Amino acid sequence: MKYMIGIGLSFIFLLDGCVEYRESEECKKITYMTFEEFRLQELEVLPAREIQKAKKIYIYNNLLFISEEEGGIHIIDNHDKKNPINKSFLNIGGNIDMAVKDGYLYVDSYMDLLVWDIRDIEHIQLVTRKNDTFTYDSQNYYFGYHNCGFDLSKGIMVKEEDK
Amino acid sequence: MQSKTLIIALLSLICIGCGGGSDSSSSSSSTSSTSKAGSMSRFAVSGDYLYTINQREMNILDISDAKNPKKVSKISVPFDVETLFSYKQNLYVGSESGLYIYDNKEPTQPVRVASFSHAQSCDPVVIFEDIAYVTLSSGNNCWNKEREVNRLEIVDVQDPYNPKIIRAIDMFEPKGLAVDDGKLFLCDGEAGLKVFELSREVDNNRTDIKLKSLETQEGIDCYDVIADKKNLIVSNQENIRQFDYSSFPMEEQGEIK
Repeated sequence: MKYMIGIGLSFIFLLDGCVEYRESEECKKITYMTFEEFRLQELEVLPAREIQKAKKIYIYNNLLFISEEEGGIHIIDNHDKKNPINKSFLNIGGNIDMAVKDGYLYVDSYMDLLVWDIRDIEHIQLVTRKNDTFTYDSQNYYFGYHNCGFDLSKGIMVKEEDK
Repeated sequence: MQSKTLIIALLSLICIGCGGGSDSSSSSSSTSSTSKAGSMSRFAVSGDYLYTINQREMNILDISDAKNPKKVSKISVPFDVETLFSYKQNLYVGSESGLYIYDNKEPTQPVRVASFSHAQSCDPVVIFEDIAYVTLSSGNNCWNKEREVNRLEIVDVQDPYNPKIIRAIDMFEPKGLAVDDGKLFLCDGEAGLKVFELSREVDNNRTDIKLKSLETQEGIDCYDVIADKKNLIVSNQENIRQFDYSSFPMEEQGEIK
């Protein structure tokens, strides 16, 4: 068994890319927002905004949803493929994924599940928030911070800076 | 056996610790109306249930009442799962260590019925006509060059309990992919967006899938794609591009910025 761990460890040293990664990311000063504060933030349907970094995409009838790397979802009216209309932006912190069933959009927001009524695209509304549906996992949101004294119990990371 | 597991666990840890984006994936098939996810999705709807995966768990939610979604169960999944695709009575989970197939005849208790291991990589999976298309890419991970794996694997999943590899094809750095209408659309990193025609041959009960290149859109370094009703939607970093694939070369439609 120890021998095997040895092999595993020697792999780490072979992978010099990793070592650099760890050094550069090592332990910054992290500012948190408590879960309570985070959940009190208003979830707004904002005016359409430009795409910064498009990640996941999802279609529902003639609607197109585009998730933004920094969190949030662009709502696009895609009836006319030659002239798609960027309608609005759901400002959802900690969002990675989405799915639609029967006119309702299901998204994650860190550990919570949010449900939006999208039957009327002009009046998208938040229907419910289901707290603590998913395990809050630093791996999902703050890549690498789990090695760096990140304290999950303190809440959401809002800022990081060098010590 | 235990030691082997340990090594794999260690390797996955290393990989996850260093990788740039262990982004996950996607695609779930639709229910009644038209909905389709890209191949990088980790959410999938099947019947009245929403399935979600993250690094180590699969959550199953009853969404028959949208106003009151209920979490009905949670099962453990391999540590490095990344994408989820619902097809027929099965859930296909793409992970860094392989493809896992779950039977969800009992919707609240999916059971793992097969796993199809391959090299460490990131790998979305989509299913089309009982064939799974899986891309493996080591692009963002920390493996040294010699260990790099970048390829497309085509797997026969007619019997989900017994997946069979049909062929593997080297790619540049494949990411998201979509299959529709006998065509395969594949984001292949800096090599561009590639389109292949698929042809199926069955010989002696053995299904073969052959690929013929139809076109390559250079200058597109896409993350994910959706192919639906002759319209290809491409998630291309700072914009979204759409192409009409009723003929080739495809005609570009509108761009979304």
